[in-house]
Amino acid sequence: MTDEKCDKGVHAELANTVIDAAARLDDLRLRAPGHGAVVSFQGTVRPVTKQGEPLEKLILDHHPRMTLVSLQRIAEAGIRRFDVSAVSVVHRCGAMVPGEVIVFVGVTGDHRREAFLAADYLMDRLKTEAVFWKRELGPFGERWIEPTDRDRMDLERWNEKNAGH
Amino acid sequence: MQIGFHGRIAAPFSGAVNVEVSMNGLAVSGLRALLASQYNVDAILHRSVRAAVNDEIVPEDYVIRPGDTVEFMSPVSGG
Repeated sequence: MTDEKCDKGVHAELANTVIDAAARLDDLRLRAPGHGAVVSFQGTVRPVTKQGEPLEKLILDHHPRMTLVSLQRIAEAGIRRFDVSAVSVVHRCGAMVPGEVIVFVGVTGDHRREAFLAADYLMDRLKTEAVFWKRELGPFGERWIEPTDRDRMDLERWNEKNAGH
Repeated sequence: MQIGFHGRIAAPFSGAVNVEVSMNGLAVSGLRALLASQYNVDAILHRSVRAAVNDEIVPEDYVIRPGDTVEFMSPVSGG
């Protein structure tokens, strides 16, 4: 895969306001038209914590420079690893309420399987490696959140021989 | 020089502190020890708290010079 494809095919963005996932999908389709497969994923803020308590806010602290670089690197890794034509990663930062979109991932390509795999890979890396520090607020007070064992296991899958192929 | 902090480690330092670093420089490990002593925050000694200089993660023996952008960060949460 050429660097030119990587340059043209990757969009990574840090958003400090609500992400309009439908508009982001339209943007992706306009940027990479003519492909048979368009896969998108959006992660949203859950209304309850893992402990089952009501969640009032989720706060994603970010680094002023390193966070966007991390999103860019992950997106570039996705387009390099899979036979896809364009990748879009848009990630929220700041305070969010339940139901809001935290992350949008979109992938276009000629074949659905590669597009699905790329989106899955991108999310696994974002969940563990994106430079954010996450806190949840609710009746319990404030609590820091770190990647779970499940998140780490999801990421490990991609280190296995022939993972995803 | 202003030292920045990110994540859980930011709270005991109120986000940032100022430290004098001579032209001879100061190793990351030395800066940790200085911060732990001056602010009574042992958590800064934990190696899981990574040091970044000019936006790159650096090892413990990296020598910080005046003018560098120095930050400590707790393990990232991911997105």
